[in-house]
Formats: sequence, C-alpha cells, structure tokens
Amino acid sequence: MTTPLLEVKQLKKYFPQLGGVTGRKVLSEVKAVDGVSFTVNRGETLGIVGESGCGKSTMGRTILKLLEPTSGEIFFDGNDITNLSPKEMIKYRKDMQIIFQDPFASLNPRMKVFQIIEEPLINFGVKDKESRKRRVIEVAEQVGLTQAQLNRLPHEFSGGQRQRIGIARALISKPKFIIADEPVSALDVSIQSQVLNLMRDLQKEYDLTYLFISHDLSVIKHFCDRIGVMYLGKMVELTDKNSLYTNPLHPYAQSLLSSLPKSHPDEKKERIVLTGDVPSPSNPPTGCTFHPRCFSCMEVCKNVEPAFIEVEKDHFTSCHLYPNSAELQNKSIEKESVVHV
Amino acid sequence: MFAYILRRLLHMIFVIFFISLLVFFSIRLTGDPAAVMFGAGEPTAEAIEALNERLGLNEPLYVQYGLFLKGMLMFDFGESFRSGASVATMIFERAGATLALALGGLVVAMLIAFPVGILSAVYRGKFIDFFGRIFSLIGISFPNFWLGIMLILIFSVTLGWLPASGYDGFSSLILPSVTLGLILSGILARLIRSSMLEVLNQQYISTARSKGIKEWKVVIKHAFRNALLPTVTFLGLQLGALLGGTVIIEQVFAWPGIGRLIVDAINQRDYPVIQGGVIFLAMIMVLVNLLVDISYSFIDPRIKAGKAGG
Repeated sequence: MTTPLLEVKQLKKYFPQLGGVTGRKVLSEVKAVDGVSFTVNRGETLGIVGESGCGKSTMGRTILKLLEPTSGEIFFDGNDITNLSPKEMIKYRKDMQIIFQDPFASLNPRMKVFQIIEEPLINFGVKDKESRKRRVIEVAEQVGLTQAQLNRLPHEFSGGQRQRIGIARALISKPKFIIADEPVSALDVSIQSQVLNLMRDLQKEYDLTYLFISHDLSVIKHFCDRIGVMYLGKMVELTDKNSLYTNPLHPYAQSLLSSLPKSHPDEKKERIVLTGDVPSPSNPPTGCTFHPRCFSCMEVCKNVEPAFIEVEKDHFTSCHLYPNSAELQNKSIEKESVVHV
Repeated sequence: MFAYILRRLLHMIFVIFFISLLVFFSIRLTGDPAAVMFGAGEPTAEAIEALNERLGLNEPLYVQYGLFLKGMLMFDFGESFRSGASVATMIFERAGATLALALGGLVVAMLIAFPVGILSAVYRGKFIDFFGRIFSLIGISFPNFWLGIMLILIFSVTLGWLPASGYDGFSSLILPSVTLGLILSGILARLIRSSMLEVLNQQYISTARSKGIKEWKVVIKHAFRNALLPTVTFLGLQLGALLGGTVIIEQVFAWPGIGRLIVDAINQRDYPVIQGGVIFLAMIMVLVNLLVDISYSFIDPRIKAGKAGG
C-alpha cells in the first residue's frame, strides 16, 4: 500500500484568549480543532462538512501551516511537515495549495490578475520571464479566462470569475494537493456548478487530490468520494460518500442529513431538528461534545469522551451508541477466523 | 481627470473667497491698529487720524474689502503697515523656510514611523510591539516645545554639534526637523500599526503566504502597499497643517517661517500681512488636499480620481 498523500494525526489548533494586566495571561482557549485524525489518498476528494464555526477552515489552514498547529502531526507525501519553519515550508507550498472561500477578499486589490497568478512561479524559482508568461496564459485559458482579462484588476471581475482567478493561482505551480475551503459558498448557485465542474475537470488534468471543505451537503455529495463530518473541532464521522448518505451512524450526521431537501415529494422525510445552539468552543461540554443536543444521549455520554473508531469497514465514528473498540477488535477476529475455517 | 481637477480648482476659489471674508472682517474686530502701532505714549487724536488716513483705514469697510479682493486677484496683498514692504514678497521670503521645516519634519517622521509601525504590527503583542506602542505614546504626549528645548540643550549647548537657532543651511534644519518629526512620528506610527494590522488580517495575505512568498515580502509588497492609503491621507493633511502650524517650533528655534510671521503680525495688528499670510496658507492647504486626492488613484488603482468621492 502506498503512503497516503496527506495524513493528519491528532491535529489540534487552540487559540489562546489573552488577558490580564500584561495581556499575556491565557484566560481560556478556543479549541477550534481538537484532535482530528484522517488520511487523504492520492487522487481522491475528501469532503469535510460541518456547520459554521466547527473548525473546518481552521483545520484546512493549519494543515497548510498557514496557522501553526498546537499539537498533532501532519504528514505530506510521507514527510513530516508539522514543525517546519515558514522558510522550510516554502518548498512544499509548490505542491500543496489552497482555494479560499471569499473570492472578493482573497485577491490583493492592487495587483493585476496576471501578477496575482504569476507570483507563485517567481517564488518557486521560474526565472525565465517568457516561460512564466506562457504558463500564466496556459492556466488562465484552462480556467476560462481570456488573455485580455489578465491585465485587469480583481475588482473588475464577478465572483465566479474571481474564483477562477483564485483557482488559476492555486494551479500555476502544478500542485498535487489542493485544499478547497468553501470554494463555491460565496457564489450564486448557477455559478457554483460551473466552478465545481471546472474543478473536477482540472482534477483529471492535473491529477489532483482535493480536500474539499463545505457546509453544503448537496455540494459535498456531488463532489466528494469520502466525507468527514466535523462538530465543534472534532471529526465525528468519516466514511465514503455512499455509506454516509445511506447509513449515517453518528446522531449529528443523521440530523445533518435529515436537513437535506428531498427531490421527490413522496419520499419519506423525517426531519431531525436539533435543539439548542452549538456550544462555545472555548468551553466545550464534557464527555461527548455533542451530548447536550443529542437525541440519543445516554449517561455515559456526559462524562466519557467517545473514541473515534472504525465501526464498520472504512466507516469511522465517535459515538457511544456503537460498540467500543475492544469489542470491535474481537468481532473482526471472529470474522477472520470464520474466513479461515 | 482633467475635468475633475478643474472642478476642484473651482471649489478652491469659493473656499478662498469665504476665508478672505472671515479673515478680513474678524481681524477688524480686534482693535485699532493705529492705537497699537503707537505703542507706548499717548498719541494725539490728529496723529491717529493721520495714520488711519495713510493706511487707508478711513475708507468704508466694503471699499477696503473690495480693494483687498482686487489686489488678491493679482496676488498683491498690499504693504505691511509696519515695515512698508510688500506682503507678497515677505511671504515668499519665508515660504522657503516653512516648506523646508515641514518637509524635514515629515521625512524624519516617516523614517521613524514606518519601521516602528510596521514592526509593531508584524510582531503584535511581542516585545517590539510593546516598545513601539510606548514610543508612540511618548511621541504623542510630549509637549513639542519642551522636546525642542531639550534637544537644543543636549546637541547645541552641551555637545555643540548643531546650531541652536536660526535659518542657516542644512545643519540648522536638523534640530527643528527632528523635534517636529519625533512628535509626528508617534501618531503616524500608531496609524501605520493599526492599518497594517487590518490589512494583515485580510485573506489575500493568507493567499500571499500560500504562494510561498518570503514573509518580509508578504509584509512589504502585499500588506504595506495596501495599508498606505490612510497613511498618505494623514501625511497630506499633516503637510498642510505643518505649513502653518509650526509656530511654537519656529519660536523655539527662531525659525523665520510663515507661522511666526502671522503671529507677529497679529500682535501688531498688521492687517495686510495677516490677510496675505492666512490666504496663502489656505491656498496651500487646499492644493495639498487636491494633490492627496489625486495621489489616491496612483496608490490604489481601484480609485479613479473624480469617480469616487468627487
């Protein structure tokens, strides 16, 4: 088995809330990402879904080391990049890129589109001006921008076009891995599918691996191979698309999916409506962080944090409703012995 | 662009006109120049009458104002009551000194405030930031005349390196410029720090980092250039204010600038000099403002002069 392109182990990102007289005392910590582990295989698209504030975007940025992780490990292409300095990261940035959520805020308003797209090439050591220009024009055409548009400024473009610029910028260095941080949520629905289709075409062309962050279940379903569900800084369920949409295990995932509009009027629809608000990530509930809102809450949930375990094959979840890892191990041994006999 | 500048110049005419009204009538509320000019002793009524006649102060006010306006069109502000010299000439003789001091102060302020403000923002919450903020606060809190006197004591009296006062070549410009610049750099550094902090939080800074750009390049090329706009506005307005508002510094360093000219003239009720000086400063202020507005379109290509704001 080849190494996965990206492996994240127990990744944590806490934001200290400073206060006190000197402003250096840590009053509390916002646990934006709190012990997330997963892998992304080459060529696949892993979707990360969760409501706003659950730490999806923070996680994306921490993986790219745009934010320093608090603890945990990040392996990219088999290399541990967790503790690399910004300088050492530069050589990896060529291979791991990001498409940002807000196409209006993510482009420097004072640079021409050409400069925006070209700049990574300069930094990654393409010295020849002519070959840089050729590459910029090539990428621009791939994302559907004309040569004439390259001399304009970002504010002259619509949201969809600006996102195309963002995609071109991310692609220019021919990366292996792209984190798409809600790439279409700022766009009109009609433009969303255009951009998604573009991203899919580019995936084939560039042999890309995506980590696709979104709060939109329909978009995730359309676009991803495997899906991770996040709640309050933790991954609560991780599995392939079909198992998640047909057989969600975690109560949070179940309630999320029940909010999906059904396309057929006769289709049975049971809406699970959660009560209460998402608790503050600076003071998460004890035990399972979901227990105050959970419709299957048990006594154990209030005190013991459930482990993130493989309940079915390639289907991970962290919930006390499912047998604990010890039992699970026994089960799999039984299965194996059956096979042997 | 051309139409915009023309429109702004038209604006300027109105502004200057209203200022001329204000200056002309308000100084005439302050007392009789003839009485002041005689100073000590008791002048006879005839002597005062004769003086008023000579200075043209016996004419009705509207006639005096009309003559003043007429002269102004040709940049002729009349002659000083006291010395009899042409006011326009007096102003131009002093404009150089004022401009040198204002620019000197700005240059010193920028040399100090740019690095302090940028470093403060980049190392927010760290020691450098703490130092930078303390520095800004000190700069803002110092009375500038006190700082000027201290600098004179240290560098002129004790060390003897620089001239204490006067307007005589580059070396005499250093102390007043540094005094002015230090005070100004406090506010400027704060402004740069806060606008840098705002820009550094923008998403395109993350974009720049993800491009693999060296951090200092992110700060200068992507962040600082975008943070420059409020700074330029401030500097422009300051330049205008410095041209007329450095009276105290001019006093401390015996600097022959326009500010001192006007203050002396007010004390002596030297109407033409006051009027000419104030009008001149107002014109400079309006022009500097116009230049700042035009410069926006160079700094920020999104702003096309005349389209935004107007």
